[in-house]
Amino acid sequence: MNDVIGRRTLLRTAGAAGLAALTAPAVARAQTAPRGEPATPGDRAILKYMFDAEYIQVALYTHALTLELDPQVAAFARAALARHRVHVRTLRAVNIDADVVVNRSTVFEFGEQDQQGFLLNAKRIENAAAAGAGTAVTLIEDQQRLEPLLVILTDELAHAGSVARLLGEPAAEAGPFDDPQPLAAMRLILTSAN
Amino acid sequence: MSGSGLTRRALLVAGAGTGAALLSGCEDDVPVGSATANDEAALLRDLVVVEQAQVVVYEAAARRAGGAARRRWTAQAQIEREHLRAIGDVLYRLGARAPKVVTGTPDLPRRDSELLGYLADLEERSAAAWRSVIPRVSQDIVRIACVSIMGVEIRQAVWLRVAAGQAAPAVAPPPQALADVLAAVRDTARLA
Repeated sequence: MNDVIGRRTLLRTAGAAGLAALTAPAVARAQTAPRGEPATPGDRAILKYMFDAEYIQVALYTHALTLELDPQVAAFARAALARHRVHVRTLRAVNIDADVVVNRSTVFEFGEQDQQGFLLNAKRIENAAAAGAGTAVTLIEDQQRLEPLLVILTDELAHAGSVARLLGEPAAEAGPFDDPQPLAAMRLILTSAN
Repeated sequence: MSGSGLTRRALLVAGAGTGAALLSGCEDDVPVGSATANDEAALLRDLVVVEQAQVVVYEAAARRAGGAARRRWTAQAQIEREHLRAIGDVLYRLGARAPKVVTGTPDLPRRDSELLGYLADLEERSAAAWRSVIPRVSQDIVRIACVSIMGVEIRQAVWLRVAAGQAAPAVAPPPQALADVLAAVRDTARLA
């Protein structure tokens, strides 16, 4: 019953057949796919989302470094860009057996022309990326892919925290919980931020 | 949301619900009393110790401070108490009880700059503890709780590091073994 409702809701709201596999029983997560075996449709959907999020963030920080930034913001942007490039390499390594086709044709255009605009956009993007990565870590079925995704998730959280601090936000702004969020909703935020 | 038939997994996939709905009120097929549930409950009980240590330390910091600092540390202690409440809810769903509340007498650094680093260390240890548990749990409700609380601990650690004068980090705090974290936080908070 639970599964039926989940799938119906999914088909209404997401319309993506690949995502439907994310409703597979949790127990499947504990089973590690043998090396060389294709990823499940759910894991492929997760990796595709993760690739998209990383490419957007690489573009975000690449654009930021064309702006006039305070030294501490510029230092963070350089370090974050380097880290996101590491994430892309990590995902490529994770994807060897998954055969995920990544959306690489997107042209990113960031309109902000000053530091404040960049930081506000970075806040939106990093928070969405972290919330989506949290979902990826929660739902990924192949245990071999969990640790690389955990590295990316924790970095995204550090970035989100750093951006909030650079914006001067108070410590308790984010509240007591940092819940994972639906990938479809996070993808919408990411793609509307550029 | 009882009786709706929605699971947390379905909510995450479909986008039908977010926030507190993920940690409370939804139905999950948790095998109460199973070996898996017992193992995951044991890990959560260890994490209770980590959160209790943070409550003890932030309450001590609030008692010593005044003005904005007192409000800040009081708010932080409340966040950690919210984590304890959430863990208690998850333990209940697993058919387990939370450990008893413990007290402590932390020896806080006297200088504010040192206190910020001390608190950042504690937050990083807490984040590391939650991170170390995620690969070891399979129940959706447990993994969501771990991801959700770990995220807050990392953000708090970053805030404290920057407040202490360090650069805004682009790399997460390093992983630590749960046993090492437990020993360190018990020592830091001087738990009874």
